[in-house]
Amino acid sequence: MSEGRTAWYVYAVIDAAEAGAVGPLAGIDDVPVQVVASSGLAAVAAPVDLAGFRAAQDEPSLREDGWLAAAVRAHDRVVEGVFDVAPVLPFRFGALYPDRAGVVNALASRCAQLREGLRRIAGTAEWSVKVAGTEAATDQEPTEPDTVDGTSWMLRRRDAVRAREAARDRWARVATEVCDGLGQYARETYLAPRSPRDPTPTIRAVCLVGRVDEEAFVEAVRDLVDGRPDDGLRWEVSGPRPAYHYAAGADRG
Amino acid sequence: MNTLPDHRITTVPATRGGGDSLADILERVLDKGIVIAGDIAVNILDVELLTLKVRLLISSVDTAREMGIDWWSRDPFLTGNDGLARENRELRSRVARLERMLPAAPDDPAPDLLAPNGGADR
Repeated sequence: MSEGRTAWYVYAVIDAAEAGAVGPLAGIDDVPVQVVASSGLAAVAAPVDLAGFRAAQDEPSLREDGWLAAAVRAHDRVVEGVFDVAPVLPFRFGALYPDRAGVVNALASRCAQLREGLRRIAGTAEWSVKVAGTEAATDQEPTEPDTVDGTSWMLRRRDAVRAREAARDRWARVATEVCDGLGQYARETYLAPRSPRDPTPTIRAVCLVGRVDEEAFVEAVRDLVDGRPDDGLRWEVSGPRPAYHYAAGADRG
Repeated sequence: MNTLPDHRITTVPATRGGGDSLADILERVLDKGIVIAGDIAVNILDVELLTLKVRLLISSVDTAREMGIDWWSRDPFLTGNDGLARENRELRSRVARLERMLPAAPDDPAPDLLAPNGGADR
């Protein structure tokens, strides 16, 4: 009954004073974004045709060439585009409102929290520091030979447990070193849980860094790496990005 | 930001326009960012859209799980736990009100069953 009906999609929120800085950006389905201002805040939003979202419900997977993947990329692209010109609170993918007035109401009803979120990320960007080990994950039990007596089985189990504990301790130490070493330049640090996508043990620290401290932050990572023995860990620092990890706290509390 | 790798460290400038893998982007835009719970457009158009967000993601659950993204299993808005918890609180307070209206019955074991965790922690 409602093919072709539209809703309003919100990509991000900025301070209303920055609204003029947002240039033309193409959102989902290439619909240009608009700035909807209210309560001193401004939502970067656009009308979207709900047909796409409906069709996406039937997609069997996140195919690279599917509508959903394109929509997700568009969301990311818009937030990055806004981030280039103004402090931005990114919304999670999928924030739909019935109409423009719904967007205005959302800004008004969450005004205090959104302002607090903007204060938190003002003048900052997200930087990620990834430390990857070279050894394969040791979570799996070693394969046992067919014939083994009870004592050697027990000893092998004990050694395996000790090796796992040692590895865990080592990673905990590295994580502490990262947090301590970057604390001077990172206003906040979030240690992300290891993703199954990481083939080896990995630490991922997501830091909220003042824009003015970015070079010093990267230097601090360098110093941290140079000050350690070469233990085969691979370090990667990347940024700057919109503060996705630090936006959620504004509303989740 | 220059890329100045030595043998142990790589600096990667944030990429623009398609440099990231879809998995990287999903990790950001599906798992992070503000959610104004309850403001998803629950009243628009038809019942189907009540669960739009859930459906979008459930259709991709396997892919997402492979990527280590499973936040919806903890999201009270999506799992409905928030509503259950609220209903639970409301029922408990109703029961408490009703109990106060009853004559005292110290030997009656029934109230224990109404304690948090159903008294299972004793």
